[in-house]
Amino acid sequence: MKSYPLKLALVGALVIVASLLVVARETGPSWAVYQDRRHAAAGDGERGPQVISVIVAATGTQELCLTCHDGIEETSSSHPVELGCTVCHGGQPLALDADVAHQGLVGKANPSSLDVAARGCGDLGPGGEKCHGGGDMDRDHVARVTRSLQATYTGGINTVLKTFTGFDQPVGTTAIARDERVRDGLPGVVALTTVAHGTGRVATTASDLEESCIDDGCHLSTTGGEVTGSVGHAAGCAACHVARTDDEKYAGDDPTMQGRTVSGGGTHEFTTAIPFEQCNTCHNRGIYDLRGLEFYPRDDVGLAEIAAGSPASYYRPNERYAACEVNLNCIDCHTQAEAMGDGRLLPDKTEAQKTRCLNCHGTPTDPPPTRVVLPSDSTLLALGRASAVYEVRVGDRLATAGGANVLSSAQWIGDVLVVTDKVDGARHEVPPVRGSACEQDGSSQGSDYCHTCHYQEAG
Amino acid sequence: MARPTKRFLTHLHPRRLPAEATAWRRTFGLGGLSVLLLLVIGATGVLLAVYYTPTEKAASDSVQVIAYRASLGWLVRNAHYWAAQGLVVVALLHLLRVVAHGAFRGRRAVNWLVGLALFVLAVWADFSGYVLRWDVAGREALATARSLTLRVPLAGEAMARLLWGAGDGDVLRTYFWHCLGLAAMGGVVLAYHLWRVRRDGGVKLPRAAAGRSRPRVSAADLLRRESLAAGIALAALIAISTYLDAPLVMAGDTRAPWFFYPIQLLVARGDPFWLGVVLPLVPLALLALLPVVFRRPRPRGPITASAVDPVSGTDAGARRRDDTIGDARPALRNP
Repeated sequence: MKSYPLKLALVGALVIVASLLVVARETGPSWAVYQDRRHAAAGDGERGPQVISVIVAATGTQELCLTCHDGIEETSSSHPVELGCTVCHGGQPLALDADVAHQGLVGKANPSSLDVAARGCGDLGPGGEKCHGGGDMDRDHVARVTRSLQATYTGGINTVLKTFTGFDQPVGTTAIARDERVRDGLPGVVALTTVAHGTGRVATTASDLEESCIDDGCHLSTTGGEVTGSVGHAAGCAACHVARTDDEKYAGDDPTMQGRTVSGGGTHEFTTAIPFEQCNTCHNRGIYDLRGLEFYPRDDVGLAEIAAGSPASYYRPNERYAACEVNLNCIDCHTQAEAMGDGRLLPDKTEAQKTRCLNCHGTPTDPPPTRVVLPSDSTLLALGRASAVYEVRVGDRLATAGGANVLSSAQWIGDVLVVTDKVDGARHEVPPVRGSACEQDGSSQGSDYCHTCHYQEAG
Repeated sequence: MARPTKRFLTHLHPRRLPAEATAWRRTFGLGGLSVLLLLVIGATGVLLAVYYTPTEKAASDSVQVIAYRASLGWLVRNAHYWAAQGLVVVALLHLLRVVAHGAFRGRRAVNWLVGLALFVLAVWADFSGYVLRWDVAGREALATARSLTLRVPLAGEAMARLLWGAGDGDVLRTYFWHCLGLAAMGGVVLAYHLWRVRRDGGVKLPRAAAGRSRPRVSAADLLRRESLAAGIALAALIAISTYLDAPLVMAGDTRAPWFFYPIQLLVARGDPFWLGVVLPLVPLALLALLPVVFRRPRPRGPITASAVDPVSGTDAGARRRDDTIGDARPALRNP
């Protein structure tokens, strides 16, 4: 073979080129781009790619997720980095290839989505313990939220079906999304879609409802829609507990998420200090016309204003608001049980919404009802631990609307009831009705009744 | 090149052999490529064994450590994987080439069966490697293989225990077969196969024209060609291994390894024993019976000049029957 040296040189060159490809990959792994982006944002100059390992405190196992996600916010102080990522998100903790690492993710990027929250938030902690699920119903947040009106809309659906079709059933067993879990003897709920796929007038009505309720995406098992003026929000727990951003862009420091649109925007951080703007995302957007099963968005403010949580968007025209409704956030008065349910499938909102003016202000004859915190009040004590601006201790006296509806930040300090704003920590002394010039009939007190005298004009 | 090495390499082939037998279009280098891939698989396999932990708890994690943490571990793993897939493909093509050239008849029938056995071993090794990933796909593949084996009448349970271990999660048994059992069997059978190729006269060639001698090349020349082909193949393997990662299926739906995927589809449509065990053996049995079915009729008439190897001048009858020209050295052909 006369030309062998030349051919050998060519083949050798081929092998060298292939080897250079190897060197390029070994020295510049695919995830290095995220670390470069992170270092550029932090202004700490260029560094070589480094695998970032976290040892999960509870299990001693290794996770490499931060190699790409370095900079991501801690979910909260009770969810530190050492808790690990996979305990909530699933996925493959040792993989450094995005496709492999993200196999088995719980709920894609949102493990709090209600269809997976029992796994993502509820059932298994790093040591196998229950976190936000299991155990008593008052501590099983996932089960309660999944069955709450905000998730199921059971009361509204049942009322509409019964009114328009005579389709009567045990209260609230048809819901926005299916939940077959039977817990504590409570029935599961049937998805509206199931009913809508039937025949006859019930199915037609259910189908209209489905279009109106599911496609428009107000409820916690959806992520918001565009048809009737709803503002996008995350699904499940994150819908309330992740502070949304106006442009629905990720606003945190995770280099893999920069510029990406996510439902509701926000960051990786969860909060219990939920501002009224967050509630405004769904509530205050307009009204439902039950006759046509249609939603009519407000025409006094635009979507952008609602999304931005401007004060004007909070107040509906021709309605009156008391000072506390203007100055406080929704969660300062409305309790965890009201927002997240108590495990029951309820017939309508009045069964869920219990807080009234008298729960803080009392009546001309009686002081507001008081609840003393006991060592067994684990939920109340946990609320205090989760807040950065107020505490709940055994022996504290709190305002209450009865049952699980305790206003955890409305605390008696001596003879004065003080409400701590759960969002900004501002303290407000609550003026009692008793001893004031108020002439109301305490037995028939309602918000409209109080608004007759105590109001600020909308706008 | 050091003298002992050179002597070893040059003795892998006959000292001189027909140029036509070394032509690319004649064999496509499939046999040699198979050997090269086997060498790559062996070398990378040894390196993988440094990190691989054959226990149910640690196997999957150790694969990920190899793929993502060990220096150049990804390259070693990818090269092992792609060489293994390549081996199955190349070995199959090699079989088809042999069929196309009718090189399974006569005295080559034995080596044909040996080659078939090697192909089965290669597929088995590939499958066991698939299991050893110990990801969802690997575990399900093992469960399926065990289930199918258990359906074999009478010997099913014993076979399942022997092949796949005592329980569904027996990664160590698969590890044994992959690294020791199959490697040992494959090594012995391959050595016999290669020796037998020379013993049977080398590559089967068409009948030479009467009165014409075949041009011949030296073993050194063949080695040069082989070294070029090996270099190209290695460069391609490295490039493929750099850009295409060996799969890991840690969650979600799985499917059987590609060479068993048709069986997976079949098993879903009927009785697993007939469709998953018996039916796949049918093409194998047919291939094994090829030498019997397509037996060459005994030649009649005088020996023609074209059938006689002008170089060796020996074993003329055999050459006439098979139309082959191989090694010219009687000592090698009559060990």
